[in-house]
Amino acid sequence: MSGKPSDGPETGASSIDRMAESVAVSPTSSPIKTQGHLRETAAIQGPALGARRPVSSTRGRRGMQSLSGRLLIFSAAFVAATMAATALVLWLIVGHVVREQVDQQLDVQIEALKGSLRFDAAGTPRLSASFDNPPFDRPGWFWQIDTPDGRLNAPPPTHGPGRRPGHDRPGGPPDAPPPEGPTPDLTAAERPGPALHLRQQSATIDGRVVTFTASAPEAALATPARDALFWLLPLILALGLFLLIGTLLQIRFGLRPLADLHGDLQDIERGARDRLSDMPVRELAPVTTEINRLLDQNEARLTETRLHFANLAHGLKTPLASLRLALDRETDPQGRLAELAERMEQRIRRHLSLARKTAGGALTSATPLSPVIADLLAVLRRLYEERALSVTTAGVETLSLRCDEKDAEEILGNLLDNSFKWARSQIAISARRDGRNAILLIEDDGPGILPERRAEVLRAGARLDESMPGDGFGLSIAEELVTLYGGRLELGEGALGGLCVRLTLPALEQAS
Amino acid sequence: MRVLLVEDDDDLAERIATHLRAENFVVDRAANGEDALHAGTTERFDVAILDLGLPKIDGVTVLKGWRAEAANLPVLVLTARDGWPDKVASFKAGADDFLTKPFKVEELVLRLRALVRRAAGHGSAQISCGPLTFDAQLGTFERDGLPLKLTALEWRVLSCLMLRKEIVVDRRELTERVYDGDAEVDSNSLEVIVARLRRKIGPEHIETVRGRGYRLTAGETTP
Repeated sequence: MSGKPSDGPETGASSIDRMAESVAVSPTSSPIKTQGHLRETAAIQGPALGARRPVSSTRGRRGMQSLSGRLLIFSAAFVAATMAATALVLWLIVGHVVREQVDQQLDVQIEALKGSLRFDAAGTPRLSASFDNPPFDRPGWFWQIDTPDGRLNAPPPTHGPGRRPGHDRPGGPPDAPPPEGPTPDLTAAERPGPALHLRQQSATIDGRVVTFTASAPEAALATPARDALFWLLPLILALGLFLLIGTLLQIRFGLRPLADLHGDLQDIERGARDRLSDMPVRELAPVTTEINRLLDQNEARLTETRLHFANLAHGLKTPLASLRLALDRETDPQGRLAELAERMEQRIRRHLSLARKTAGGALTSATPLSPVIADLLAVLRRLYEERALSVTTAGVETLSLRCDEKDAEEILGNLLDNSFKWARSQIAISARRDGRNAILLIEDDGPGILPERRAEVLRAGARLDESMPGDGFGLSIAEELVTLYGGRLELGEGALGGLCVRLTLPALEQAS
Repeated sequence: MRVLLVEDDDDLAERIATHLRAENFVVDRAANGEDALHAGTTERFDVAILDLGLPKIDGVTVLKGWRAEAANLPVLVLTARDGWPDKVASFKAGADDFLTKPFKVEELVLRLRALVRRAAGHGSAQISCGPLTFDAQLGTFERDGLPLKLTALEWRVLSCLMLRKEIVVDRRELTERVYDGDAEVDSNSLEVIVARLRRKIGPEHIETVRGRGYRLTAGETTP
């Protein structure tokens, strides 16, 4: 087997090609098979391993393939959107409230200005009070009165920020004249300085149309909203975090029955249990009930089918056995009838072995390898009592096959029986895990099989040596069952010099 | 040698019985699991042939029942089921050999003889006692290297004594193993058979143990 480079699944055709090639290329087509370079394998492949597994969808990220992942992703997205919307709405509300407040302040100022504006005899507008009270003593908080005869306003542009005419005239005369010089228009489009928020109102005072304008810095509107958000955002984030934790707990506890179901299914696959436990959850109860019903049905059908074939075998073979006993030298002098009976027997065996396949291939069960081999060796040692064979086993203890116990017995029984039949003095059984598969090697020190005839022995009813007892079905039955499980059976030359049977079967995932 | 044949198919059972009787076996039949279970635990047999697919109680259960009742007779399972699971189940239940139908009757006879011989504690097929040699596999006797001609009844008695040479074999047990179940047992005729055997192999080789039975011995006491 050591000569075989790859274990990858291949198609039957390519392996046959390879065999043909090896026979043709091989310079020694002599039947002496001890030649090292003839270590070619007649591989009869089943469907590629893993072909029975549903092809998993490659759409979606990894997280989307798990129910918890999906819930978490959707929930996180939803929480994030809600948080953003909340922040936006809060920001708008705070902005609105602040604006209302500022507008109110400005309106109060305008009303006050309106109340204190008088025109003297010369028609000059005069204010009867100072209007530089807070907040109108701060930059951006301005007022302006436009009359047909001129403008009165708070900050002469020549003054720096914070300096107002009012400050120059603390408790100034109520009838102080308006400041001289060109005054900047608050309402002008290209006014220098920071952006302002304006309120305007027109009134007719002493028969003149006067426009009152009051301003607040735009910053006075934006800053409180920003400050509010500064405190609110962490709160919103904390809330979001809380919601996510809530979701996680929900997933963990709310989806616990699903996790339990998953665990049960894995246990069934591992063979640790044979039915799902009852679900106390209304939504899942029908699922478990139905799955259990299917498992029951499957098992019952399997048992029934096996029993049916056992009965069929009994019903067909018992009269055949009678017939055979009835045929002797007197009743069948030429042995023609015996020959017919023999042919009938062959057919019956062939068809029963074919039919038996339909009762095999249950992937739900798991079979520990070690006891099966121990049982079979006990049987074989009795059946071949006269032969003092030494049998060694290695690596079988920890392996379990994903295979029905009866099928495992049938496969290994036939293979080991073949080894017992042909071995001269020893048989070596070794097993190891290779990814999802168990690989079993059964080697003997018997005569082996010529490379070009290895495919032949796997054919039903084929017997390479008619002198040995047997019906020629053992290896073919094993091969058919192995194929049914998506495994492989290969014949080669072993280290002991005889035949080496290499068996690949799906193994159980290591128990976690 | 007395064999219990458990087979529900009358035709096959009759044919097997005929062949076995021709090979000097005493054959008792049971046609269902219930009878088989009863017979195996209450009567003495040298070997049993057991079918697996039986009415009432299946073969494996019968076998387990026998073993549970300490009936340790060697059992050959003769069945149409040729799968390994059936073999494993049979041997686990306590079977000693397994033969699948259809079979050659010679094979069956050879295996039955081997089972009886091994059960009597003889590893080799050749059993010797004084001038006598018994090939337990072929069922032939030789005296001083020459074939010994025996009638069926004589063969049965001698083979039974031979398998337990130097041991006293109970009269009743011997009788059971010599006559077919329903046959009229005439105790005198056992004496007659033993007398004939003594003439053929030498009187000193078969001892009469008063009140108990007979013993085959190499007879060192006589020169």
